[in-house]
Amino acid sequence: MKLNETLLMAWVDGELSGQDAEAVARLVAESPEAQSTANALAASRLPYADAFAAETLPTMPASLSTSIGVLVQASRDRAAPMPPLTGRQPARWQTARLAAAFFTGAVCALAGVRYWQSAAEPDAPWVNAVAQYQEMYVRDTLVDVRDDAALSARTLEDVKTHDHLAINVPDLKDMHFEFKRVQRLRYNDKPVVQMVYLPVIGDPIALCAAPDNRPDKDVQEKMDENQTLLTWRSNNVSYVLVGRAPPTVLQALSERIRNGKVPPLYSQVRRPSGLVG
Amino acid sequence: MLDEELSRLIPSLLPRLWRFALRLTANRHDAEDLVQRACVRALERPHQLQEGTSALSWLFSIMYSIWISEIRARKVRAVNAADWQDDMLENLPDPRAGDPENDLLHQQIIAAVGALPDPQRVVMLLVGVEGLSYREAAVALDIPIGTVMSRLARARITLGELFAISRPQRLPKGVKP
Repeated sequence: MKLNETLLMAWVDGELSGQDAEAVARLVAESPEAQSTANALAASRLPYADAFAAETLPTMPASLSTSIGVLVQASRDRAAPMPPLTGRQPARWQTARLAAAFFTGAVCALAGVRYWQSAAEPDAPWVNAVAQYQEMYVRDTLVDVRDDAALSARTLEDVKTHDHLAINVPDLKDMHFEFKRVQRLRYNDKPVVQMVYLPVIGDPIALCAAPDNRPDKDVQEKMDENQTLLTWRSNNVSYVLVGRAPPTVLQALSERIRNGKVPPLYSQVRRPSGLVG
Repeated sequence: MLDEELSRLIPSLLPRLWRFALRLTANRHDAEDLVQRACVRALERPHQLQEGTSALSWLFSIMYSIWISEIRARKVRAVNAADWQDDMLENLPDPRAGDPENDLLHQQIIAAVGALPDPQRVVMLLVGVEGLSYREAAVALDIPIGTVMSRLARARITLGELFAISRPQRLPKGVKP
């Protein structure tokens, strides 16, 4: 039997059988160095669990709970199969589709263009246009795209100067959505700004904005078999948040965006750090 | 483990993941980043949780792996072991004393563990604080059980030498201190 630290630790902790313990005891008695090590090991039998249990630690931030909740929900929704329309008890997606069909009438196709419908205020045509544009986005569309900070800042300047639209690009990193790019679009000569984000899992989403001087409006949600679309109006800007992410994820994102709980990644007030001019 | 089981389990384990992340990184922002990244990775790869392994151990292993490869390199831990060691030797309380001194003992235990080299500190956190078995710690750290025990022994020797001055030694029978 050769003495080493782990054997001494087992001996000091009373984890050796009677015979082995006696053998170690004899060896320790003959070695001042082993005795010193054994003394140290004995002195190290401290209330570690109690000490750390009594430790006051920073509270887990609410943003962490929220973002993990969003991830978990997204994972559950991704795992849940979408059943076909049958006579069985409908699943959540199926119920939503049936409800949409009941309250809004059948989704219609007109000259190859599909329109969202709502029992409330009908959406502006540009909303339908960005929704259809977003349907063409898949993960591969953006996975290799890197945000060009200088270009994004210039684009936002142009949005302010030429489109007369006061918006920021929200930073959704905490919610695991990476900003990819901002584009200036036009629909029937009306300026539309598109900001696209890629989540760590799943397809891209888009946050679009257009000037709209009608009164502020709370969030409205629509779903079809492909996408979820949230619209709202605030401070003379109409917003659309659209994509194939689970509705709960988009709802959580829209709430944080609308309530100003996300910092601006690019702001029309200031440039990101590191840019000159 | 199924996606759904894991997605139900993770929220309930969050407090422990948070505490472990704080102790691993000693930085609130790094801890938040670490927990998020670990949960993303776990939810992306639930099939990697092997039968017989606890979800908590597995999540700890993911956190440790991410910390080692992505987060630890961001900063150097600002611990001066020599200064801390001298202060501790002057102020060691009798562990049999009342609560205020017990609190001080607890604080010094935490500081002493925090000053250990990372390989020993992490083993102490997993085994001594989180209560993992040697085998579970070995799986979490992807090292042999013998290495876990060796690191633990060295950590305890360091800690014991610091605390030995004020504590009477009680060795197993047959050996006089």
